[in-house]
Amino acid sequence: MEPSSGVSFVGLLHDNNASDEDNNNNNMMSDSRNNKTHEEIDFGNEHNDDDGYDDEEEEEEEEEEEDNNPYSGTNHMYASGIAAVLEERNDSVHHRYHNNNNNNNNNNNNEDYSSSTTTANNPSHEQLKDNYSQQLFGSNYATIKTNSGNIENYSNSIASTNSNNMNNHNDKDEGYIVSYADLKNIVSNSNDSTHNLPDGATGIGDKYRFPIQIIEAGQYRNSLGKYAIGYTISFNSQLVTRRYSEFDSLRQSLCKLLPTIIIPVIPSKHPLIKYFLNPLSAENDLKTIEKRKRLLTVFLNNCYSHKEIRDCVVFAKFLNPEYTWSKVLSSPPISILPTNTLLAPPLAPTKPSPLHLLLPVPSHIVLDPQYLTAADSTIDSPKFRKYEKFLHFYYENCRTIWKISKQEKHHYEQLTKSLAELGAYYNAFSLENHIFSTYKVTELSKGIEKIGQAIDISYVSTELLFVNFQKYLEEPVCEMLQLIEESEKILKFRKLKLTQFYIIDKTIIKRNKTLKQLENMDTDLSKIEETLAKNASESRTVAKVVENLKKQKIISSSKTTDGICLPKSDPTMKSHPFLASTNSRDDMIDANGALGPTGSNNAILTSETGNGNEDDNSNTTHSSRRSSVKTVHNENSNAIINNNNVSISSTDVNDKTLSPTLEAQQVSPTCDTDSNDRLNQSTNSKDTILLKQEEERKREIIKLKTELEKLRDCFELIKKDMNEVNSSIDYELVTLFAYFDEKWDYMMRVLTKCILSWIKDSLDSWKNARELVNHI
Amino acid sequence: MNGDIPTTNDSNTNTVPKNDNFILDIIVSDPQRQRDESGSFVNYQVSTKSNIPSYHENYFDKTRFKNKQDFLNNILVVHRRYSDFLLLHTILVNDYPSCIAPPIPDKKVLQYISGDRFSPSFTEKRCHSLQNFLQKLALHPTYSRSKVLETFLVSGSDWDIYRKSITVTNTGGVNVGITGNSGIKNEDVSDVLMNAFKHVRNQSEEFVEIKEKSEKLEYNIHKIDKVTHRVVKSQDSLTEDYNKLNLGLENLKELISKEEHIENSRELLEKLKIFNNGILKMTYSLRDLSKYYDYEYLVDLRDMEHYVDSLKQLLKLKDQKQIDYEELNDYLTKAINEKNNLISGYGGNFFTNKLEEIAGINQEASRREKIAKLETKINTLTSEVDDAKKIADNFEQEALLEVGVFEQIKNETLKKSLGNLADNQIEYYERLYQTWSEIENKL
Repeated sequence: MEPSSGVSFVGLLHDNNASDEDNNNNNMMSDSRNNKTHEEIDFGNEHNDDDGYDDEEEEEEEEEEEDNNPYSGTNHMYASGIAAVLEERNDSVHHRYHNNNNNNNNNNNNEDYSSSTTTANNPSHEQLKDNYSQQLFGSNYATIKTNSGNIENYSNSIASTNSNNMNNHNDKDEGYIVSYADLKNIVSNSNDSTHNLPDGATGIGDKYRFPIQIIEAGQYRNSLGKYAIGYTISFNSQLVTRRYSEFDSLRQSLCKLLPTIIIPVIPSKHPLIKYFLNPLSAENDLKTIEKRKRLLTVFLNNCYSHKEIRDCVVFAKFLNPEYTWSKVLSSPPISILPTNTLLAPPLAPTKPSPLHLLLPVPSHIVLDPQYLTAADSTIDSPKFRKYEKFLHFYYENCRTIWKISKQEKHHYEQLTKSLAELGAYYNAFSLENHIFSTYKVTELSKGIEKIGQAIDISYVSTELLFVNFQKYLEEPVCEMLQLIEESEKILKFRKLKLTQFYIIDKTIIKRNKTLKQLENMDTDLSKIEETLAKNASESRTVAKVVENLKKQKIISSSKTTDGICLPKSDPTMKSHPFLASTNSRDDMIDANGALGPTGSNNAILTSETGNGNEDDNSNTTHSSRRSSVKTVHNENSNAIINNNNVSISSTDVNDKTLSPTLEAQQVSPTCDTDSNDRLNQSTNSKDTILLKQEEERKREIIKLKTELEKLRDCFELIKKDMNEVNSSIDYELVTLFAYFDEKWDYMMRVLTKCILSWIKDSLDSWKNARELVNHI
Repeated sequence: MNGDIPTTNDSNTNTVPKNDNFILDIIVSDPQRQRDESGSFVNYQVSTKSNIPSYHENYFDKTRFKNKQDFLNNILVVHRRYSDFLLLHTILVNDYPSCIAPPIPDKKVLQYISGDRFSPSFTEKRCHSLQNFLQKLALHPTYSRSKVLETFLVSGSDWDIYRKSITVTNTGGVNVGITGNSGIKNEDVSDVLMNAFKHVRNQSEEFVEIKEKSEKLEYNIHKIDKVTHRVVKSQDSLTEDYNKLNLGLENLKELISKEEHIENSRELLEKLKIFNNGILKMTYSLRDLSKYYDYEYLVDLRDMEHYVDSLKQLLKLKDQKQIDYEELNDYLTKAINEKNNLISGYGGNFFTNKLEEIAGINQEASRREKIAKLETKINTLTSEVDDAKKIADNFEQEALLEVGVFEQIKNETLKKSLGNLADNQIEYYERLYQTWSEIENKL
């Protein structure tokens, strides 16, 4: 892809043809010739002159293609990424085998990589592989028309070129890459990887494991013309550049869209203060950018490997260069996310479900296993509590390890610094270790110099070791910590869901109890009436009472029909709670309060379940889909109304065994409790009221029954939700643990490799030194 | 070996005895705490392997030794305490003033006060330093042939007599119990004081260079010593870190082993165990390496620093001799000048001449008298200057020779020390290599 490569090419293929010299600077020409050479495999080693002028068409075609690529002929990454076409790939392979020492190899390898990615899911992949191997055999061994190649040959050769290429560099910096190249073998064997290597050093084994690559990180100009650090993602031969903040918002969106899934983590934000003092720029914060690049690659690929996330349209759009990310954020599904994911189907929060809006919103987690019904044992499995505990300990453990590794890094830094200094001093010492002036380099000097060299190598390899420790110990452990935090978040979500479940479950139980009580009351009342009637025949005073009672009944019924609705704060109305409540049904606010009259038990329920329940009840009783009414508003209005009642009913609060955590909102039910007290008392003292209320009671029973029906619907819904949430989270956690196990496994293996390579390097250098010292 | 010592002086090669057939290997080891009536002390075991006949024949049955190999097989073991070493050092310094005496570890008064002098870190370091001292003596052509050293290394009873009759004074001087003669020494001390602020005028180029180079040598060793110290420190903290990491992983292992609901963790547990074992071994190896650095290599470096210091002392002594000569020479020139002035008639002060004239002194007579006086003075001075020059020149020669010896010993010691360093490093890495290759196979 570089002029230089073209030159050597032409040199190889067209030794004798002088006219070709003119074309030396034209890569495309030589490229296409290579193509051709490939197609006519027979030529192999012969470098036949004749093939130089064939296939003009193809050449033109290619030129066009190349012209589309603004980076063609440069070392730029885009050159390889965009130009990932089959023909070109062949070129690059060919290139490589003719120009093993070419610097451009990095580029070529990378190109290879991306192009193979392109075809990873391609049905014609097999055929491509054959092409590769044919080419390989053709160029390397001059074997004529070999069809039986396999991909292993191909990758082996690439690996060898890779290392060839690496070994060409002598700089210290390049030394790292050599070791990286060694590492890639490990990576290709392991299941998981935090591995993303710059340039072409990426092992060929990675391509099946890392479908998404971040091929470049650096300054770019976004759509608004602002400069920023962008990470260029290569996926399915498409390139898209995203900023860190866009990754961040992607992650947040995914968290909202998939509340039961542990979303892979991204490296934490740059501290804000640090940002102000020293904004990230491509030049001066290479370390951070490299780290981010590495970890963001892991993030993307972990996302990709998760089916739910992979199928998520937002994720797909993120990888698609056609979408501007800010527009994706302001369009569905992100824009239609409900404000509270608890009021939506847990596995698909963007799909609206009216019944979900009826669910209570618990402000905090209240889990009271006292009210467990039989169905709960499967829903509230102790398994999750175990998970939670385990995660907690795991977190603590990882945290200590993380801290240690940080400390270790610090100490390694000190050590390498000292070693570097020491090496320098030894070198100085090797020059000045004699008392007598001498111009002859003595054996001692050589020995000391070698010792200095050994220390230098120790320094370099130790530095590499600690960089690796950082990469394969500190970073993964940090990732684990973040993941545990994430899983704790989804566990919390589950708990909130569970709270919802409990609230509904409890409400149903209470309602049933009340209903029973009311029904019992019916029979009780008829009994009382009976006795009264019996007595009336014997005593006149009793008969009078009965008469009075009937009169009152008529009055009260007329009142009911008139629809007089008085606020409950009116103490006189408290004796007619049923009346008040039935009349005020239309009013949202009063309806909440009206829940109370059904009995003191209900009051307890309300007090325990909190606002959500009230809201829920009001909705249920009305069966009007007032979904738009905000719960907050509801709560507030409740509070206001109920505050009025506090002064009146506060004395009665103690009568019943209410939970001590009564809040302002919960006073309203207590007020009703009080009325209910009176109701109970009145069965003995004021029969009149009882008689009057009989009708109301019947109405109430019907209401309760419809309420219960709604509640049962909700119960079924939440039960389904819970089961979904449970299975999803269970799956997620098990996957997470497996991921951790894998990660540890991988980390240990990579670290062992790193440690071994460190040992080997140092050992060799010291042995070398020892030999020279022996010669002193 | 002599090729390494490029000197302009041929006498070097003639007078420095070659140590080719001369074996004197000394090992100091096994510091043991012992008690006697005056309290506790530490005994060091000194083992000597030598082929010098006198070492064996004077103390053992001569018939035992049929050939040289038998000498080497007869390893001589004695036990000496620190004060014995100090005594040996002092005697040698006094006996051979023109030799560069290898340094002996200082008394470390602080440790005596803190009661730390029986801790292994103290005794081990001292033990190694004492060994360095003896080994340097053994390499030295003069010291190694001294009878005192032989007595020290071989005899039990004879050395005891030395110890009882000679006491070491605080100033480093020696009070020999029986004769009590230390006059020469005192004279030297006064010389030192007199000439402390004087400098040599005509320093020979050779010595200028030697001085310069020894400064540089000292500087380099000092720096290496310092930085190595820092390296050891960071290694120590790394050891600590590894230890902690080991603990952390151990806890993690335990945690995972308690959880039954995680599948596949058996395998992971096994791996964790293996890996953690490696970390643990790394901790141990690194600890051993640090120990080596601390107990031996750093001691070597420090001893080398002190050794260079001794060299500088010798150079100073040489300078003093030179200064003596130069002073005398000055005096002589002055006297000659005066005499010449008198002879030529210009000598003397105009006023003094006038005064003498008034006083009626016969100028001519007094002048002659003066000249005669000066002449005798010049004569004695000339012989003294000649003596001083001889002494200074001799000493210079000796010093030059000694510097050559120093260079040789320094090279030998450095070679040994560096070799040990490389050996220990290699051992460290080899141990690790073995451990980690096993781990790699198991993982």
